[in-house]
Amino acid sequence: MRPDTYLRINSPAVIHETLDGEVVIINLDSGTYYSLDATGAAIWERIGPQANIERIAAELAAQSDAPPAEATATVLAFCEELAREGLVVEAAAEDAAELDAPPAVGGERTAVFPVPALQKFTDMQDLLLLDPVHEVAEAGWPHRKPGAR
Amino acid sequence: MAIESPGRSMSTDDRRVGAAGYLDAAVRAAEAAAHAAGGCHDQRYTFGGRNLLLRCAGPALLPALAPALAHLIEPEAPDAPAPDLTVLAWDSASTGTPLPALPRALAPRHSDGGADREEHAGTVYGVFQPGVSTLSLLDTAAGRAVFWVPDARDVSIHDCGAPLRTLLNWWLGAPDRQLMHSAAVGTPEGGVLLAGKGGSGKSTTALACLDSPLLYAGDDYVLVGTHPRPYVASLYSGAKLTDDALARFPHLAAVIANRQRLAGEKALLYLHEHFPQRLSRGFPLRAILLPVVTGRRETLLRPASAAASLAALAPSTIFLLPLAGRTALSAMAALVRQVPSYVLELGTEIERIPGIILSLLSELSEA
Repeated sequence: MRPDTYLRINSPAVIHETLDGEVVIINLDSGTYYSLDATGAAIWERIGPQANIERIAAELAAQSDAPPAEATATVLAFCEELAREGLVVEAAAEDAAELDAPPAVGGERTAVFPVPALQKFTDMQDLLLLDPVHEVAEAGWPHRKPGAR
Repeated sequence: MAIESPGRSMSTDDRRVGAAGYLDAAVRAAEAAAHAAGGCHDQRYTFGGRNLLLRCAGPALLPALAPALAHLIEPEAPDAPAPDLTVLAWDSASTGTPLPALPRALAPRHSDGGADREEHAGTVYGVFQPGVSTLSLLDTAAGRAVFWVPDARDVSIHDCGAPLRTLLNWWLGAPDRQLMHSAAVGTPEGGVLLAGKGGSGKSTTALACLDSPLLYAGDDYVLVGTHPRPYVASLYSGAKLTDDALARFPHLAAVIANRQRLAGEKALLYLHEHFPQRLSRGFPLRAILLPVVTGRRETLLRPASAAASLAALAPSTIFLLPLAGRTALSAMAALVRQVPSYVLELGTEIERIPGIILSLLSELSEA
């Protein structure tokens, strides 16, 4: 993964909701779920064709006095962690949109770039192991949606 | 009789059969089973204003499926409307009627990530759950469903305590309505949802309220809606208890339904049979409580974030209910945005728990 890498959320296996600046993420493939703090949520919300890692870092670094390189390194490490967990995948170049200049970011400035936190919960994995469910749908037997592994 | 695993016997033709075609075959088998068993045992129920006719082939499945639903029985009426859903339920052992061979043992759920009601092109849903050996098939457009088990005597405690939950989730679920893995207690004016994974204290809290003004709407799965205002509708009157929890309620030991099967199983109580006046069909939802066992004496409440509430509510609901996915998460997120959440730190003096909840409900109604 590089600073100019674009990412996308690994849907449909990954579902997520943002509430009051926190994110709850569920990986349906692994049975693992996660929560993100405010900094993690700010990164998560920016993942997509509109911003590569460097741009996400630049947007967030505008809120702090931290050097841009520090912000990029922090965001890159966090995105690599998200990828290891199967929550994001690298997006093809054609997914990337034309970029305008980074938007101005308001809010309180901080002296250092905050480190995002990904909290991981594995207590649901037992449910998958104990009770594997075999599904069927009208499309045929077996049915797998496009993109499902 | 020996029941072959449905996944093992299959032909190439079987694999081409769609779910709708298989549902037809399963319905014919259910009708044959009823004929073989000497007829159907019918019972009507109301779930959140919708009528369900449960049609069991012979009497064998009634002890497994009927008791936990008894509080929702619709009285017989000559002008009763046609049911919104008819569920044909049968087992192979008592009827001597085999399940038509399943076309194929399908990929496990977790390899079909993101499966979701809305992503199905048609109206037919189906799942074979090998862990508990149940087959559930639903055609929402035709208003018919099939529930099959190999042997009515071996129905799991989960399916006795919360029967037909897979079908009910598909049938009743909507973007603003979802079966949730939660307990619920309240008064007609309002109540609380108790959310958390197994062992968090949901059942203990719900049962601690039996001697209070708080009525019981469920301890495992309830139907929760957000439109026009948040509400809870009861689905089951079956309560499951671990040995530890049962020790806290010694007076309930006398009414355990599965006494002969207790080794390795939770105790199952059918509250409708013993505390019919303590059950509620539902109430407006005022708050979500996240129980946590603390070991301390006092029970305390403290505010919880909406994200913490969703993290307590959503994962177990989604992983326990087949085809629950994005839509279910969205429905639960809508709920936690609408009602406040609190961590309920459960104290050892469980008789004080109902008073804490009643005080909260009183505060919220005045706010």
